[in-house]
Amino acid sequence: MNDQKRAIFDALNGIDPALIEEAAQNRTAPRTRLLRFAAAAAVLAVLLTCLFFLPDGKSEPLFFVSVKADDQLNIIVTMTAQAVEDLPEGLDPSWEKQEVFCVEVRMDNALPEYLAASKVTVEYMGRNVTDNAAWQQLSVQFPEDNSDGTLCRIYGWASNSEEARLNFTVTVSNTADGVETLLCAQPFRAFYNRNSLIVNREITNAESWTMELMSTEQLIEKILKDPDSPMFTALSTSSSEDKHDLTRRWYTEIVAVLDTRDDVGHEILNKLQEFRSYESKEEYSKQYSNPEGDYILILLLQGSYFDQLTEEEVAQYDQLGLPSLLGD
Amino acid sequence: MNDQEILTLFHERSEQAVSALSQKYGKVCQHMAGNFLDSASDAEECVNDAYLVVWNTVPPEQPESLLAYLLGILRNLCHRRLARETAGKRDDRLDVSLDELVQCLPAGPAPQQTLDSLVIRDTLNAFLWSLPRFDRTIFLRRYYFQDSCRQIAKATGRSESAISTRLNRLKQRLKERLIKEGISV
Repeated sequence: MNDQKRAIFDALNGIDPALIEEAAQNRTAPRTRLLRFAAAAAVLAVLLTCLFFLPDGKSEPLFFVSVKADDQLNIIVTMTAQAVEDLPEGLDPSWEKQEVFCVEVRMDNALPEYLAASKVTVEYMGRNVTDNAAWQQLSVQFPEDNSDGTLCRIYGWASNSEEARLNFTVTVSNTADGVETLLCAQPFRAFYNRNSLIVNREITNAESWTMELMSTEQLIEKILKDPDSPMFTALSTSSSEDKHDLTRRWYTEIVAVLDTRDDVGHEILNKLQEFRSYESKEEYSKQYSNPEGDYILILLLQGSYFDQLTEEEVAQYDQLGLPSLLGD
Repeated sequence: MNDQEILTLFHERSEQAVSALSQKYGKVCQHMAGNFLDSASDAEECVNDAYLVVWNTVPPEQPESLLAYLLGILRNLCHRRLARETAGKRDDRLDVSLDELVQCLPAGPAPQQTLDSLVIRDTLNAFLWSLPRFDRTIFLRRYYFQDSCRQIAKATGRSESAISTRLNRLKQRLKERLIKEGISV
């Protein structure tokens, strides 16, 4: 064995015992097709049976979103109806009769250090809610101790005598490896009519609710293979400053990887590099005056899939005055 | 019986200590030794030798993780056995997996620089902790436990090519990490 191999062999002998124990324990955890099918069927069953109409003051689950990575790390977002009296202390909506729901963001099976490096941001009415605070019809609570995996609880309420609309986006990211990695971004659209709370009524497709936790590299593969990815849709539907910042950092990461690939056109890379060079969305907007800029740039990321764009999307792109998609 | 109880038996010099150790960790030890060595009897002999080393070293040693301590000893014993049996020859199993990792070491501008296994170890640990659990498990199964891609694929329900591709990506990421840490050969 030469010196190189010896050094590696010795380095392997110095691997953290906790890692070895973990790997040894995972030796007998096969993921069979049957298990995969059962898991998918279970998720589908829950989604199909979820309640969209909420009875007054009952705590019943509405739906959950399970974001899975290799069947190990789960990010689980549940939305439940709440009785007013179950609201945490200090939250005292002024209306007499309420419809209340709670969205809980939890991470299961995460190591403590991964959990500690995980962050939830909630974007509500264009604001990035970063601390425990109540905003009109929404309150976001970050528990002091998240060792049980609970990252965040979001309470929403409205009088049942009015019609209201609550749109907010929950984003989970992680900085365990030194850079912010987007784990999931999930828009919620809750709206009240006079008798009931209807949540995300338009989303009934299991695919829309099941996203994978992925690295930038995996994400790029997914983007290139699946232009209709729900992750895409989630990111492209918001144009707020905060989301913009997050996607911008994300683009930076993506560009760095795309740069190394020869199956992505230079046109796209140049555009993305240009986008990255802007300091703020205002600056970017000054140049292009386009509220849909993020969306178009996401479309650009689809690169060699231009032929899959609709005529409307191409026309939308052309209106920006950007170079032709075909590069002429 | 938990690890602490087994360690207590070793401290008390109880004859049950080794059988308790064997009962709890014999299967994983046999599996790993079998990955290193062709002969089942050689593998069994190495496992028994590893138990003996634990018996001779605990106490005074008080390992934090009994399993990791035992497997570390076993790896070294298997490696010595291999070195003796394949003196001057290339052993496929260990060499192939180490070759795969040697490729992770970036070629640097200073060829005379010596490899520091401690730095590699620390970087490797940090790298593994940064990975999702599945990724670090298959990495360790391949390069620590010496499982083949086929064995890992079977155990995880994935295809062999999927495991192989994933391991290649992990190695590429490890290489980038090592470069970032300034490790070169």
